[in-house]
This record gives sequence, structure tokens and C-alpha cells, in this order.
Amino acid sequence: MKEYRIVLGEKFNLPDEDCVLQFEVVNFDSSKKTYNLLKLFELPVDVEKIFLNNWQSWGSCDFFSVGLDISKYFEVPPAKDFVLAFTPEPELFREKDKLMSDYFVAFSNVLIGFLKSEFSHNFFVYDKGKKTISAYVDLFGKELETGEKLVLEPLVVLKNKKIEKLLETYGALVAEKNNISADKKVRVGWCSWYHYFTNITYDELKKNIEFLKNLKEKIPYQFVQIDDGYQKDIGDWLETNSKFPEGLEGIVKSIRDAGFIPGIWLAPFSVSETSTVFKEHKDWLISDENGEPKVAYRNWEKNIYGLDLSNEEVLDWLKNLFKELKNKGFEYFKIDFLFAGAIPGKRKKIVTPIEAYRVGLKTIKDTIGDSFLLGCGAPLLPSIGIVDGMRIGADTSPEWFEDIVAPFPNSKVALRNVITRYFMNKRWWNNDPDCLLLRKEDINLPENVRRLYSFVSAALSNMVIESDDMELVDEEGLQTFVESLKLCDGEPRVFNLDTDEKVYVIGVKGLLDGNYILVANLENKEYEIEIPEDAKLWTGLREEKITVPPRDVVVVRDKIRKLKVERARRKDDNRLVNYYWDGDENC
Amino acid sequence: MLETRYNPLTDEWVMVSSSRSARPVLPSENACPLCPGVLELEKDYDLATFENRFPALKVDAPDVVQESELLKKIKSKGVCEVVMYTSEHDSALPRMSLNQIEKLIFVWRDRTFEISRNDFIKYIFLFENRGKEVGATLSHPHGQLYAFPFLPKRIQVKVNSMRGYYHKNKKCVLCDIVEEEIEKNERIIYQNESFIAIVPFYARFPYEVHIYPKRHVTSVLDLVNKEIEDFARALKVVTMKYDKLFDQEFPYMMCFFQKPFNLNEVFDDFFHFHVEFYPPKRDKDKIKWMASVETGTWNFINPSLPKEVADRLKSIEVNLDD
Repeated sequence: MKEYRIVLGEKFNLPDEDCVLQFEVVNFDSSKKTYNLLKLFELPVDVEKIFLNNWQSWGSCDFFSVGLDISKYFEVPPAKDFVLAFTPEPELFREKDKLMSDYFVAFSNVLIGFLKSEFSHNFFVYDKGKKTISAYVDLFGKELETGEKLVLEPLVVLKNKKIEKLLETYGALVAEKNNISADKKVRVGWCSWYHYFTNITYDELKKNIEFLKNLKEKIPYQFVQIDDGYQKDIGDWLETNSKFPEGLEGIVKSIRDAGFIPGIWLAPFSVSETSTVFKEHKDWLISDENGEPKVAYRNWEKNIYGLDLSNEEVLDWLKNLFKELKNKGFEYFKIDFLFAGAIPGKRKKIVTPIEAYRVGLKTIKDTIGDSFLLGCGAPLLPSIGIVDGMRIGADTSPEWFEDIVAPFPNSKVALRNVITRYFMNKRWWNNDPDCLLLRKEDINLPENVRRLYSFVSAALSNMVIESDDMELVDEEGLQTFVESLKLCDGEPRVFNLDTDEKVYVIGVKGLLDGNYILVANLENKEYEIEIPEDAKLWTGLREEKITVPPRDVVVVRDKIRKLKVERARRKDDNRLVNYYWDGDENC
Repeated sequence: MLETRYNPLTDEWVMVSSSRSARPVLPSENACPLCPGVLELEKDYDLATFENRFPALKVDAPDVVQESELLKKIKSKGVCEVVMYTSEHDSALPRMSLNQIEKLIFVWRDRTFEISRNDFIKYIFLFENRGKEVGATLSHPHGQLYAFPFLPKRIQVKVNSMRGYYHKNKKCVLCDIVEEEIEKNERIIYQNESFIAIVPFYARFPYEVHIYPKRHVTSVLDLVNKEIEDFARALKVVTMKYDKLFDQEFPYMMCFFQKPFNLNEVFDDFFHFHVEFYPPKRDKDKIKWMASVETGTWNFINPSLPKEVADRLKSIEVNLDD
């Protein structure tokens, strides 16, 4: 692909072909200069719909009408307390006549996207009045000496392809540029959050471990992850509260003794106003213009602050924290609310929020080594190459609400992102679609919705994590899990991301069990969907139309004849031998 | 010694596997090392695969010591397996039942699926060397697979050509070739609902035949049930025609070209799975040698007209029940 180098300020026309654009800023002034928000270019774009992406795990990624007023969702609590979670550019974000898209934007068979975010925040703004799209880079006060040049982060322009091909090509280019080799294995586990929330207790954890142990033959659970609710406070992670009298050691022992990988949740860049860290180390926090600690967000009915990851003392504290957790036996770390480390504000060193964030994240990864690191509430591009897994949608919920924009606990919003961000999976990291909820009680999701979430997450080969009180999961729920796992491990493509109704056609090929088409209906009425030609070509299936009930899923599969396989190692030299016999499970 | 060396003159990798010089020679008929219970396979089998005793690539390949900045080496980390088509010693692809060939396709799919789960594997090459003329040391029907940690040179060339055509024309080159060959119907020697077998316009060997799926599929893993049945038919018809050509067991190299795996590129839209047969014979008793021009320049001189060869192969009647 052709690369163009452009000095910012020079006349420049966007090439007609696919290309990489590499902008440079040069300080031509006679004194040191500070750089903040830079506009790289502005394009006229007259469209009805535009594909937007929010910078963070929980944020939306979808086609939206250009008339959308995103600001109305962020003017009322709880969203009001979370604006910095959804953008490091809150003023621009709230403007009624603008739509922001972080990292990439797509419209009319064109995608423009940044390939990296290692030091700047890179985004696009659609101006409703001018009908233009502008590309921006925020350098957050980076300084250049006279004559000094800064090469900005590259962006790619892709044209003349359908949206799914644009996204997949963009995903592959980002992976290539960041030298990513995401592993292909699907991970299966259990998490305490979506049944117990913060009310999890040691006894309930042990009860669930026992259930999971007894299900091992049926479902290959690998890890058990304790979520929020075990710790003394946000920031005081090594001390457990009174519900966990055996401490972290007890949690690890119970999980490990049952043969699972011990996993733990924490929000390592967040500090609550009641925590010991806050009381003893206010100088460790990102501060506002007056030097006062800056509230990153409100949660747990408390003000939460972000750690200054440019401060060596903070990094040492992080290192010790994760070393300690690893030494205790945890090997799976879900780190949440990560945006808190990347909010704009004053830091000890002159670094951008993105640079500070990456140093903090790398410190954690370097400390835990081969253990699995799952990011959540995280700026996406700056996390690439550091995390092993990433939440790519809002929190799911035991509830389903129809509004598809609001990024708050809602299984519909969460599932929409699982579909629209499918192209990131196995390219940038392992996508975490958030948990499958398969219980029948203490839940407002009917069986069809539980199946819909489960099948779609598995078909797109995401991580598969259940979050239930296992005592409440009946045979039907377990069967849904087992059926879901049979859908994993193929090569998926979503063929109608530009649909007005949220009824998606997903084609999956490359599986020993046979290719299939899955239609996921996120709407509350029945649809008869005409299968796109491209989906038929991808899968080899010839289905013309598939009818799918409201909020449900239909899978049409080409059943392939299979053989029985016995995999063995030779006794003398340990070479692998596979013996194949007739014994067609599928017929 | 087992290592892979870089040739900076041609930008290609050479696998050094000195233990291969000790590989078994043709055994007597009653001591075939591939028959059940003799040497390689301890148990009876219908079909089987096993890791090569003398591999050019292996999962736990030894570390390498660099010779210099210029003369680079990498570990020969990969997989080399032997694929047993049947336990029947005297069988062969053209004599196998369609049912057995379909089972063989399952084995190819299984190995491709399993091996491609390893991130370090970038290319899985399935092939068969049939006959002494192409170096086959054992006559028991079998093929092999090499799973490489890099893209071999000719695969790179194929990928680059297919990608270039796709970017220019927004279409897959093999989809276009299939369409044109079906329309002209001059070089097709066999076709069914899912596949065509042709002597290609650009054949390098006199009796070269390619099998192309009509649908745009990228590897054996993409095939649906009907295509597996049709693929088995195509393989059987082509190899039966070969054997009837000179009324002898016709030697060939059969090579499968699948898309690369575990690389940061979307190959699915431009890479089209296909099979190429390279028979070394130019006549009943004459060999088409890979001589200086072919080996030195990679340029082939084909002494036959593909259309005439296609007419000849097409006219050979075969009975699939044989």
C-alpha cells in the first residue's frame, strides 16, 4: 500500500486509492511550542448514516443516523458522572452538532482509521452543519523545540469495499502495524459478577466452585474469576473485606484445589475517596488545573480518582500489587475502569495521558508475565499489544432494554457491540463479549434472549464466560452452553452491519463440524431475512431466506460427515499419531 | 542438523535436515513400514497420520546459533506429517473408493484445522509424491503435509499475484479463470457441480492438471458436504485418467494450495484454494526433467500444447465404480 508523508499545514488532497497517510508536525517558530488539538484534514461527507466507534470498551460501535444527538445521553446521571469514561475530549463530545468517532470512522464504502495510539488521542468529528468529517490528533500539550519534528501516528484510507471487508482489513492492518499475534484459543470460564454483584461471599464462591467442578466433564471451564466485592476498598486490593475471612489466599486455594485457574478482578488505576491509598498518597493522583485531585468518575457512591501513571512511585506500587497477587497464585487478571489512568489532567511528568496509560498497562503486563490480562473499561488502541483479552462492549445485564445508544448495563447494547466489533477478535486480542447468563431465576431475560447472547458470542469465537449462581442453572441452561461451544472456533463474518433493523446475518466457515449461517434478531418482532449473496458464498450454504423469531437466534448448518479420531503418542519417540475410523457423529 | 537458513540472493528460506539422508529406502513388499503394526503405525487403522520420523520441520526444533548478520538462520519450527490414505498396501488414489477419498478429505481437514490453531504456523501445505520418478520411497498410498513457520517463496508469489489482481479488478483471479474456462470449454478435462479439472493455459508440465473449486473457497476447511463429495470425484477422475493415459501407474506431484494462516492479512477475498498436479512424464517412457532453465530461472518450457493434452485426457473414459 502506498504511503504518503505530509507536513501538517501543507496543501494536501486525499488520494483516490487505498493508502497510508503519515503526517508530521514541525515547529518552525523561533521558540519552544506546545501542541494540543491538531486537525489533519477535513472532508465533505454527505451521508445519512455513519459508522462510529467510541474510544473505550463500553462505548458504542455502530452505524448511526447523522442526526443523532449523543449529548442527551450524557446530561443525566449516571452517564453524567461517566463522561470521562467515554472521551478524553469532553467539550467536543458534548457538542450537539457534532458526532465523534475515535480511532476510525466509516461511511459509503470508505474507512479512515488510525493504525496506532501510543502517544496521542486520535479521532474523527462529523460536523452536522458543514457535513464534513475531520481527522484530529490531540497531543495534550506536547512540546517541540525550534526546528523539531514529530511524526504523528499513521492512518489508513480504505475504499471501495463493503463495511465488513473494510473493518476486517483495517483490523488486520492495525494488528500488522502493532506486531500483534493474538492467540486463537477460545477461553472458557466463570465470573461472580452478574448474579452476586458486590454481594459475593466466600461461601457462595465455594459453592459455585463445587458446581463447576462437577460439570467439568460436560463443560471445559478453565478459570474461575472473583469479581468486585472481595476487596476492602477501591485501591486497597490486597486486603479482603469481612465476607472473605480466609483472605486472597483462601480464594486462590479454593479455586486451584478444584482444578481451575484462579482469576481476580480489580480496577488498578482507580482509587476511591475512602481508600487508604487516597488518604496517604494524594500526590499519586491525576490532578486538575488547581492541583487538586481530579474526579475521574463516580461509582460505588464514591468519588473515584485516576492514578498518575507517570509517577515512578505509583508504578512501583502497581508492580508490588501485581507481584503480590501473582505470588498468591492468581493467573488471570481482569483489570477494569482502565480509562481512569488515561483521563486528561496534570501529571508529575510531561507526558500525554495516552503515554502514561501505556506505561501503567505495560508495568502490569511485565509484572504478571504469561498470566492472562483482560482489559475492561479501557481505551482500545492504546491497549493493543499489551492485553491478551479485551471487553468490547458495555456491561451486559439481567435486563434487556430497547434503547441501543445508551451505553449502560443492558444486554442488548452489549450484544450489539459483540457483533459490530467482531473484526477485532483474534486480531488485536481475544474479544470478551461479557458474560453469558443462563440461569432461570433472578433474571429478566427469557430463554430465547439467553440463547441469543450465548450463541452469538460463541459464533464470533469470543471468550465464553458464564456468570450465574450455578445452583440456578438447569439442564436447559447447561445445554445452551454446550451448544454454544460447538459454534466456536470458526472464521466468522458479519454480512449486514449496515442494517437499519438490528437483525444480523453471521456466516461462519472453517469448522470441522461444518459451515453455518446464524441470524441474530435483536429486535422485538419476527423477521424473514433474505440471506446476502456474500454470506452464501462465504459458507457455501444456499438458504435463500431465514425466519427468526423476536429476540432470538436461528442457526442453519451444513452437517459434515466426520470420522472418529484417536490421538496418541508413540511410546518410543513420543511422535503424534492420529488414527481415523468410521463413526459419523453428525449423521 | 535441523535448521532453516536464509538465502539473501533470492529472499527464500532453505530447510537443512541432514538426518533425512538416512530415511528408509524401498522395503520388500511384506515389510512395508506403513502397513499396520509394522513400524510407523502400531495399530490397525482405516486412515492415519503420524509425525515424520525424519522431519524437515518439528514443533520442538532445536535452537540455532547465528552464523553472522548476513547468513541468518531460524529454528525449523513447524510440522511434518505423513498422511496414510488407507491401510490397503496396494491401493492408490485412483483405485480408492469415493467413500475412502471422502474420508481422506476429512483427514486433510482435521489436520489443517488442528495445526492451524498454532500461532507460529503460517502455511499448511498438503501434497503427495507418487512414483519413484518424483522421489517416493514407499509405495503404500500416502501423502504428506508440511506446516511452515513462514510463507514459502512460491506461495508468496501466488499470494502477491492473487492480491494484485484483486486490488486492480475487485475480483478473485481464480474465480475469473474458472468463469472463462467454463465459457470456452477448451481445456476442461472434467467438471461437476462444484469443481473443474483443467490443463491450464499456463501449464508448465506437459500433463499438468489443476483442480479448481467453482465457489470461492480458501482452504479444505471451507468445503461443504456436497463439495467434499465432488472434490473426491474430481481427484479420482483425474488420477484415473492419468493411470489410463499410458496404462501404467502414472507418477505425479499433487500439491494443495490453501490460504496462509495466522498472518495479519485478510486473505479470504482473494486467495482461492486449488490443487495442482505436476506429472514428471512427457511421454510413456520419457521424463520432463527439471533441468537448468527450469531450476535456474524458474522458467518452464512446455513441449506440449495444453489444449491438445486436455483433449487427450478428456477423451479417456473412466468409470467411477472401478
